[in-house]
Amino acid sequence: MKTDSLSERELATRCAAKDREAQGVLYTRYASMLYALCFRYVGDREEAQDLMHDSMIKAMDSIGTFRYNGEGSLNAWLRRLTVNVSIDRLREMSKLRLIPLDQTTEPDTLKADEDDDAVDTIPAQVMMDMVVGLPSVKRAVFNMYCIDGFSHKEIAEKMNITEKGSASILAKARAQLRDSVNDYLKRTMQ
Amino acid sequence: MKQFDEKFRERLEGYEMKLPPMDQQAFWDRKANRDRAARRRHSFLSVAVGLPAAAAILLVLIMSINLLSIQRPAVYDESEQLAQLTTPIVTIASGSEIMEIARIDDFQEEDLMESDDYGSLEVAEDVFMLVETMPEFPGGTPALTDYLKKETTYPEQAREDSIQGRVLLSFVVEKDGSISNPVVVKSSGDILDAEALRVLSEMPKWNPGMDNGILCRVQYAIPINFRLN
Repeated sequence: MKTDSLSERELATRCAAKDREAQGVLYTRYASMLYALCFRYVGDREEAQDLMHDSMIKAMDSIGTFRYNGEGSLNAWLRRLTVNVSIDRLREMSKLRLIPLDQTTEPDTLKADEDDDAVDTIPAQVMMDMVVGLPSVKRAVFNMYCIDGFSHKEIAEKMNITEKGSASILAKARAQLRDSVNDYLKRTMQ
Repeated sequence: MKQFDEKFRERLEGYEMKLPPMDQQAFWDRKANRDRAARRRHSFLSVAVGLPAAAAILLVLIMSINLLSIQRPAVYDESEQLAQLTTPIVTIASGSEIMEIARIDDFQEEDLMESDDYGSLEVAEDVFMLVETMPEFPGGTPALTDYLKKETTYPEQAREDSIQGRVLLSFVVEKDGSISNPVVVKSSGDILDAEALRVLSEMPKWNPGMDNGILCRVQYAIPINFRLN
């Protein structure tokens, strides 16, 4: 069977019917991306793998609730589900003190953009390391807002903080990333 | 700022990472385990609902014939035990500014149910989650990581059977720094759980937690990963 060419709609329908082959396609098609997404949130490969598995199982169990809304909607649904699972886990881990929920405040300063085009020369993997290098709360807020398209309102609800708090954490995350970017550019220019 | 965010989004949104070898197998094993556990839960639920219902009918029948009084069906005890899981097991130190009652949340509950051993989840009341000075493994987290790596040996049986996994252990650091109440929050099978518990119980004493100058019992958790190469 030509499973490689399954459209998102067909794939979702067959997965909802617990078609084992379609579930296999779902896994092969999205595992690496969702794994990277989880890693971006937790910064630990083992944990990311574990989370990806959990998300994938959850997706297979609840795909009946997915509503097809054009090509790309399954991708978006899976990503969103995975972000939610990741955030829940982060909150859980912070309760269990696996990671410190670092909310230390720093002066909220931003240097002017010197050379945004230079940022394009930074390899994706290095950018990933920069994001992962953020303390967990900043990392989560930056990821949700800037990369995964959550609003401050949604973030506030998920993270148990205020919208203002979310915005201010985001500013700090950006400032820290900006520093990482500048450091990196300085090092590589030499 | 938009532009800056955009650069990160462009590169990282669809970013893929190479998964560890055998990941797919590990995934299907896990899914199969989950499905089995779900079926077990399901059948337990139908028993939990079914039996009392049947017992109630029986009870009415018996009472109507005015026979002896009968005892509560045993199933009630089990559901009471389950209810304990959702009650808070930890409170926050009174000296701490953060008022939060921590409880075992859904994902753990699920894992605990799977472990078939929720009876061991009785932690004394005065265990804190968050205190001013958190307890610390002597030498800090790096030392703890080194210690776990050094002391954990891969059980031979597990190696032969290619069993891998992550054991999540929670425990209490007592006022004298000793470890108590070890609980497997997330099991990876008896063999790996046992090794993880062994290493945990043989840990040297921690520097205990303090709040407002008072020694406190504090709950902690650590993950121990078992991976075959």
